[in-house]
Amino acid sequence: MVFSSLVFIFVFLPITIAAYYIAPKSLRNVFLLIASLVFYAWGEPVYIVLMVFSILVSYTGGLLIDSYRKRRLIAQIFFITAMVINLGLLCFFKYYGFILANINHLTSLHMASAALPLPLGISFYTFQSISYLIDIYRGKVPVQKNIITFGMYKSMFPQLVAGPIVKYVDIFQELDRRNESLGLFGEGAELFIIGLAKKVLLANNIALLWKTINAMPMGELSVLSAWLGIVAFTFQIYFDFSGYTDMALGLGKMLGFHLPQNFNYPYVSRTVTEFWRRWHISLGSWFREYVYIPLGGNREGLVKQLRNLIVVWFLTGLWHGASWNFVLWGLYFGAFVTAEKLFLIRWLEHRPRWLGHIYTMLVVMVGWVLFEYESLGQAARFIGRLFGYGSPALWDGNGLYYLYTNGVLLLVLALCSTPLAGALSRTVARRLGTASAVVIPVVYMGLLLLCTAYLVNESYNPFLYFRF
Amino acid sequence: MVDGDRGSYQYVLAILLILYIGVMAIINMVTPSRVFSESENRMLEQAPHFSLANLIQGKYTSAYEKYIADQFPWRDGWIGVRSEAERVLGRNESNGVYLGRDGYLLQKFTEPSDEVFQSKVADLNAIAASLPGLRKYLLLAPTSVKILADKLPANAPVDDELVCLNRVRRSLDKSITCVDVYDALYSRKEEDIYYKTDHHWTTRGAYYAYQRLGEVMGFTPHDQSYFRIARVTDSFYGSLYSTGGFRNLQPDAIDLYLPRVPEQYQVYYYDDQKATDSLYALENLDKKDKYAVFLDGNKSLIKITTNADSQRKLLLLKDSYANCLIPFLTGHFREIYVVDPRYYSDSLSDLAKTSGVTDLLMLYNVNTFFGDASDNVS
Repeated sequence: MVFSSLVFIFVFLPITIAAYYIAPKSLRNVFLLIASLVFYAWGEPVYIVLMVFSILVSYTGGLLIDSYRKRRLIAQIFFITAMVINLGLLCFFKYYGFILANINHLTSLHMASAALPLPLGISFYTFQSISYLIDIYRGKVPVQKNIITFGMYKSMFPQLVAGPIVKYVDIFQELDRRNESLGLFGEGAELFIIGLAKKVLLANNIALLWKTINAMPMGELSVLSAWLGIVAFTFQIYFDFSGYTDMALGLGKMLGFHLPQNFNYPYVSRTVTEFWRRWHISLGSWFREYVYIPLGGNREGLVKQLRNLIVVWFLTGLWHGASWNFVLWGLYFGAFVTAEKLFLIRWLEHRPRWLGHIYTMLVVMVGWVLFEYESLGQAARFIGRLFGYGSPALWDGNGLYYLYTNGVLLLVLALCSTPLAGALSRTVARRLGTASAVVIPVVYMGLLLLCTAYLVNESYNPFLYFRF
Repeated sequence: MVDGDRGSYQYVLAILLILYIGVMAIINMVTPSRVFSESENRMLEQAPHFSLANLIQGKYTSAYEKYIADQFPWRDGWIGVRSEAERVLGRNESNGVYLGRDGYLLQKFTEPSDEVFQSKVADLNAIAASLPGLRKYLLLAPTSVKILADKLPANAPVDDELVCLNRVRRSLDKSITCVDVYDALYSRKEEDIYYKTDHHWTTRGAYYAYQRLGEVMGFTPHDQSYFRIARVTDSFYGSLYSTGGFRNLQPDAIDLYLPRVPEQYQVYYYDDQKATDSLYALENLDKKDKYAVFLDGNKSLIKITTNADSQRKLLLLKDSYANCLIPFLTGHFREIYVVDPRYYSDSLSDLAKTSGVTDLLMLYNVNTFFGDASDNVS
């Protein structure tokens, strides 16, 4: 199930919220676990077995590691076993076809690979389990003895599909004791509506433009069309993903949880390093904590640091999908981050601010081309079109048509990519004074009604992060 | 102060949200399911039947989602709201339909791929080869998006139907004669020859094609004065209105061209095994798809027997563009066999042999002909 669907908003959500708040506090975790499993099973019912198995493995692993804490070797064996099973499931379901294809390619073997549908959210919940196991092993958090509570942590429906990746250490206290309140529910409702509007009104709408331009023969792309296309994709992926995260955070609050923020206006960054501090924050911090720093981070000399950077960015790329273009995309960013660490940031500091913005957006947008095209040749040709190489014209009728039919939307998207929109609405709210207590909710409800209209009419609702 | 306001608006919002989704959920549950959507002109999804097998295969859940969307309260109203929002955004295309000037909706034409093109032309040639001894004609009608191109939004990216039509002519077997109606229609584009909200030509448009058909096929078409024009409805919202979802548009009128001196004929619908003496199903004027007034919509096989003073018998392979043109032909053919190949599965050559037809006319609009999705107005 996805949040941006009528069935979620008008069937699953009302039933879940009603039952959750009618239930006594002691039963809420059980209930949330059941709701999450239903949510999970909705799209691919068979994979519920995988989810339950995965819960059992990590739960038991945690218990065993904890109880053999004094006997280092045994604890280590349990830790490694649990890690191998978790990562093994991820590899099998997500990377099996990719690995086989590469082995076939290298060895001239012809092993057949069946394309398995990717289990929903496996990249996210595997990383959550790993964070739990590592933190237990390191003794950073108390072990979770209650399997219901643990199962609920791992499968919690608000963040199950598309994150954020919630480290166990960040949330374990709220698993057992949290304070739901009407005020918090209202904050959640606000975030949910914002996220829904980002996804349904903005991302889905601009996605049509990218879809159209992407479907055009590359030989016919004018420079203008190519830029419109990549700008559209740049907005689409941000509003899609961050909208989904906002909904997750909002739903969390409605149920009394505080999930970590995942995006912080990434497109206002002035360096690529800053971009990655603002984009998919929970993933970056996961890799920093569980890969980069354990490898030695930057404390063991430049050579090792470079190696560590390459490893982290290789894995970051690979996490996004089982295909070499994602790896390339990760390493591409790794190269810029490294260059910035070495000299680029110092150089940029003495330049005007706009130069940093332009440089960063250019790197990011060219990055999205690598991200979107599986074939490097196609990506290279598209990048060529952006800079006029091989384009039939600078602009053409098609390009102008797409520009004027999407112009208003593009302006709205640009505004909403910066903190300006938020600041503007806060200023208006302050001017309104006490009237804002009525006006603001009415505006939000208006947005929600508009989202409903778009959802009812929906002919197009792809969800990009399903591949991850 | 600001913080206090912030708190209080969130209480209000929390309550509004709960009320909204709660009330909608209840309305959803208690309102009975609609079977058919008039404005979308299609059957709506009903509550799916639950079974374990369905559930495991994921069929149940996907059917349930469709069911919820189709049965959503005030579905048509929501679609209108979105349509208005799109208009504000400056969007003028939706589901392949352009919102053009003067209230015209125009269906986008996309040139077929080489593969599709070759296979469609090969189909035509194969049909022709399987029916030796007949005079064979092909009429591919351009649609409003080509003839009324000046109604399109500026720079709208559509392919040229005429280029495609000329290509067909060049690839066609020599035994088939092409009936080119482009000039006949284009020179009268100021008249109402296409509907504004439907993808068909009007009866007037079909009349001009009929005139041209007479020239090529060798019969003398009747003058316009031969007919009395009867306006049977002026509240027709057609297929493009449904597909595009644009609202606040003027409806179309449907005219029938009735001979002033009535002609006699028998119409036999094989699907329903029903005989009648009228080419018009007037009861369809009370329904959404009013274009089905012509020959009761699309049927697999219809036989029309006339008292025309002619020895010629016609086999007509067609899509719905032909429906409003057929009434013009009754004065020129003794028998007309109307076949819609999308629904007809028997052998054409058998039909041709047993019926003794002398002429074959294949009549389609170029958009439907190359698009594999048949026009959904059946």
